Amino acid sequence: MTTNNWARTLAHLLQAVAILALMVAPLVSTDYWRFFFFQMVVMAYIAVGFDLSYSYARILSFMHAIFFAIGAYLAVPLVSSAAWSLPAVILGAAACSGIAGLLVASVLVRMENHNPTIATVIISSIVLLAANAMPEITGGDDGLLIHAQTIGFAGFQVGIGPTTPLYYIAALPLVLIVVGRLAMQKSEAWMLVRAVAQNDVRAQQLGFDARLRRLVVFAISAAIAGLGGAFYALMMRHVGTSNMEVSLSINAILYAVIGGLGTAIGPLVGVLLIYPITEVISLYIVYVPILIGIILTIVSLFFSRGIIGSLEKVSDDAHQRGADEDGHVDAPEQKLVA
Amino acid sequence: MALDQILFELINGVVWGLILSIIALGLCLIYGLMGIINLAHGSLYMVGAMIAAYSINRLGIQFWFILPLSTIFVAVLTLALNTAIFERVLTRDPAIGLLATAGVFLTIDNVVLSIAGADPQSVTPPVFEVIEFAGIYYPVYRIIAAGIALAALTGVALFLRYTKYGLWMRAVPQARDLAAVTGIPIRRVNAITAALAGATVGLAGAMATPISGAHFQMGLSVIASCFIVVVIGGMGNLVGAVIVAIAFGLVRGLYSTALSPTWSEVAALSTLLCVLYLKPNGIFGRRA
Repeated sequence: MTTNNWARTLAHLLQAVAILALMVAPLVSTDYWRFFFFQMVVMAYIAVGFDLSYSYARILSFMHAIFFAIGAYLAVPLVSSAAWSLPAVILGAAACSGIAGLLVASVLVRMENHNPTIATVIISSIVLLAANAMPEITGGDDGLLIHAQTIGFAGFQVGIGPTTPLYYIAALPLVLIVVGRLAMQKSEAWMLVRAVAQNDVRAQQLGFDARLRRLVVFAISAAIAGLGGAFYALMMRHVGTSNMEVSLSINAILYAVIGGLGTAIGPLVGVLLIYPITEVISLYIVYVPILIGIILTIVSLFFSRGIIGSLEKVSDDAHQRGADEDGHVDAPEQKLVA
Repeated sequence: MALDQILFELINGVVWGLILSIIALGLCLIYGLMGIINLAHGSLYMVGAMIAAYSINRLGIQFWFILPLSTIFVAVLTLALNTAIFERVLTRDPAIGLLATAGVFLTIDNVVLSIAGADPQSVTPPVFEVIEFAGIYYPVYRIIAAGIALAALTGVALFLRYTKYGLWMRAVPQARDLAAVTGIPIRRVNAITAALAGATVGLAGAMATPISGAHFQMGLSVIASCFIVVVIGGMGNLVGAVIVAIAFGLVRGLYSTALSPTWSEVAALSTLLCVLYLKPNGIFGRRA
């Protein structure tokens, strides 16, 4: 029982620290660190989106960078046409990414085995190829710029770029998504999503439309990535086709895996842990992706539950042992997703 | 549209289809036998090509010596991946294999970037002659490349059909436990599969260099066509993959009579994606 408490407490502590860090850090730090945290917030959106898609729509997606880029690219014209309204920009970007996700998912959910994953790699390559082939629209590698200096939000003018107000406007929805997921974990609707995620046939037999639910979850996960993209464009005032590269998706995947797939706080913890490490290393090594690749390989081979996933496992195992002593026997399922 | 241009593009399509077949062959073999989707497969192709470009341009080695060199190097590299990764993910959640090989892809591409730089390398073909038939002039090297690809495909088919290991490679995926109890050395069979997959993709990389040049991201650009060919061919179905690869080449060839190379690639991939929409699990069905 002590192990149980210890692991659970640590997981809760990490939860609190991660959210607190996100909310407080920019207030007590320099411009540079606020910019740094802003980048982490943006990456966390893709990581959270990827995790939702993998854990609850059972689609291991290598194309969340595309949804991210759709959001980012849409933000550019939306800012110039709707300079009076930041909500219009972010909601518009998220909605379009969500619709793109819905379209893609309508194909993906009909596929079996690993084919959906492969399809995400194929679609992501097609989109990147096409985007690079039309520089007059996408700006190619050079990208597009946002020229506006401020944007309206609830009657105020918010500075575009890595400003404090924009940081909070970006970080709050992320925290809400994470906290909302934590709160929802015990709700019936969420149980259903998890049941569908674990076993299509079972859910179908119970009368739930598994495909439809996977479709909706994937679309939401795409919208979340797109939301991150819109904030990215507003922060950097720039977006280019390099934001569509599969390596960006792999980065997000790494964050989610290290934090713990299928856990509400895992992707955020992964970003807060790995992003600073890679930033520090990039001061000394030019080719950081080499290291990212090695870490991803090692982590997926030997530590695939991730930090939060492992802590929850330790806690659950202890709980299980306690239950076993009471005469209840039920072997825990060996699954990557918690 | 002149007929001779269409003919030229169609022949180009078949040649590329054959090269794509031997690139996709390794992906298909590893999936068929071990159930692992190797996301780093494109990177292995790129390594084959970069070794060829580097050895020819920097070390001045003759092209025909490079073919076996790239083949062996990539085969050894894939063997190492087999020991380090494939064997560890065999019986586990398939997502682990995908994630681990995604890491390998990122690592290999960037190691090559750090050594060779980001500039595209071009290699002059070892044979400059062109032949004339039906009113078009066609580079002889491409015909030789298609011949080598065909020979490699035939070689692999004969190996699978007539050797002890070939038989085992076909038998193991059908009944893994039965294979183990009847004394088939599964680990060795896995290793041979990996080596064969590496050898064919390494050969393809070296062979493609005089046609497409070499660049550290070329694996990424080939992986989409490779995957779509393998999926539509029916995951793990070798004959299906070869047929779809040649069809893909032809479709791309047809598009390139009207479009730029990049757009014809996009159009060909999109066309096959539509096929995938209608037949989400391939048209030839799964077969080991």
